[in-house]
Amino acid sequence: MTTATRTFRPGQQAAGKHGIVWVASYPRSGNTWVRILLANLLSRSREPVPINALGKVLAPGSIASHRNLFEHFVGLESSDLSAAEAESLRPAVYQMQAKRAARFGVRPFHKVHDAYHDTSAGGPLFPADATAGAIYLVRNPLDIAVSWTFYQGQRDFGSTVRMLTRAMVLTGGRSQFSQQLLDWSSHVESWTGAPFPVLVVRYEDLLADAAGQLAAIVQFLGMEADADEERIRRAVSFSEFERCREDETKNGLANVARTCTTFFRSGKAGQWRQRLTAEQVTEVVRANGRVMKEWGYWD
Amino acid sequence: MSVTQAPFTVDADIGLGARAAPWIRTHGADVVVRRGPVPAVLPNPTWRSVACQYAEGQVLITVPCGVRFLVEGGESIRWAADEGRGAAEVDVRTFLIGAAWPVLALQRGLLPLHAGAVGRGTIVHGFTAGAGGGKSLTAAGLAERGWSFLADDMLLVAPARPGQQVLCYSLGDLKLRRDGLSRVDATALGPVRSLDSEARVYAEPRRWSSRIGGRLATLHGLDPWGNREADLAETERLVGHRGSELVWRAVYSRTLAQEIVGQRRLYRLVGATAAQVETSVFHWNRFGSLDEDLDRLAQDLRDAEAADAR
Repeated sequence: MTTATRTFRPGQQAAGKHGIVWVASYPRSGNTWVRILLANLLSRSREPVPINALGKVLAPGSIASHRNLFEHFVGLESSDLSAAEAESLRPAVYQMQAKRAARFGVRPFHKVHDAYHDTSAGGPLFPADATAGAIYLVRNPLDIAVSWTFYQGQRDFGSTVRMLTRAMVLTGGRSQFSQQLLDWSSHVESWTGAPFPVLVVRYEDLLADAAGQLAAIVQFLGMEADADEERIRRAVSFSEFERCREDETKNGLANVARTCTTFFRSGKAGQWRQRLTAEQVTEVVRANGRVMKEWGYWD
Repeated sequence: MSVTQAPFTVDADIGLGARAAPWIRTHGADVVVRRGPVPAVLPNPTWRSVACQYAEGQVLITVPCGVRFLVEGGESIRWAADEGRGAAEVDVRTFLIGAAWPVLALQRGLLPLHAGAVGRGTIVHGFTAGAGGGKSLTAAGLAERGWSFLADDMLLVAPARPGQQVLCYSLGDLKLRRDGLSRVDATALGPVRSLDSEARVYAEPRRWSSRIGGRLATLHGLDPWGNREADLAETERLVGHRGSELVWRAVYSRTLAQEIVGQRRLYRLVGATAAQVETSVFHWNRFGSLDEDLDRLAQDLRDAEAADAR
């Protein structure tokens, strides 16, 4: 697959004008990079948006599983709630957030690592009536295995390989609720099958043609009036990997795992060929081969 | 200055725990807590969140386990538990202290801060952070280092007139994740709300104060990002509006607080507190050890106490 950016639901392709835009992905699939691109696109500044200030442009800027956001909209202390109780309230949080944002004429963007799924109380965690649409980032799970292992400060790729092949829950640190990741294939299929407009962007296509993919995102979000070619070109330039890495080296990056020494580590595709053993590759492909083929990651 | 006397007294028909003893009075109490009819909704609420509604001096709090509270006029908390939802007494108590109490305090002119606290002598050190920002672990860690545990979640501040001391009060147990418990000298009392799978426990630090408050001398914002300038923990003193901003951000359920007391009065309460309390940000060392960071914070608190004594 060479042009893998796809919009789902023909005739209903564009995201709505109101509601939350979910920037969703399995971890280490380019989520932060896309939000940096969007922030630089929407910013009126002639300077790059600092990587720690994305929330000033892409309000609210936090991941959807963040407990501060939850407490702000719920009015209860999240540490007093069970995980199931908190999860049961999360859809109402997003509905209230979407309503308030619509009143002020703004469109919230949320980073998401949760799979698209129903809560234990019934009903989707990410309700359609709170949603404008989703940008879903997909990346070769073999490269995710490499990237996630380094992010966790480990050298054992085997544990990440196992994560990609089993239903996993991401604990997300103390400031976030646990997030249901499922296995990699189920995560991809959960979002690509969500009942609202979803634009799927392959990480590898972003690497090859960031401007082209950003233009597709602009079209999906109906922002053509605010984003001409010059602004797209500038946003891509401001979001280049080396610049982000320099910003991180100088200022650090907020909200990353304590184990992560470098968030912007490599920014390349295909590193699994040097890092993973044949057995590890086989394990990932055995569990995810069908969906990997669908997205052009395995012949 | 008494640090054992509560800012108001309560007559409750439900046990509030051993730490609530100084607040309890069975006759002539300022506040009455009783089980009774609580509406499912308030008519014409002027403010609402997912779990709370406000209308004309009343706040309705609805908790997912089927417990509701109606907090009125700073004098009454009525609670009800839906039949068949299985709410236990510990559920009612948890949300009574964690959600209804700060609302009641606001109605009585106190300022509830989302903050932990430790005390020594008549002095209290508060520290504030967002959810998961390390308040409980800091409280437990400082309790190992010579201070008494006072709070890990909520601190009620009685703002003072200019030149007067800012008194603060606490209530409630220490809540720790099990991994946090293993890192500090505290004893597990039992799982939070009987949900062992949540891996959170109520705990009792080795140093557990029978006092409920004191003079708020310092308030530290715990910086979860850590120090971005260097690999070391350090305290950054705040001056001017940054001190007020720290207190403002720490106000418990801030938008509801603005509804209850009014924005201008809330600004005044915050400003009066910030003017009398030394405010700082404590930057963790992201790459260092928790023990070393807590030692550093402890040293800063000792320095602040020495300066305060002078």
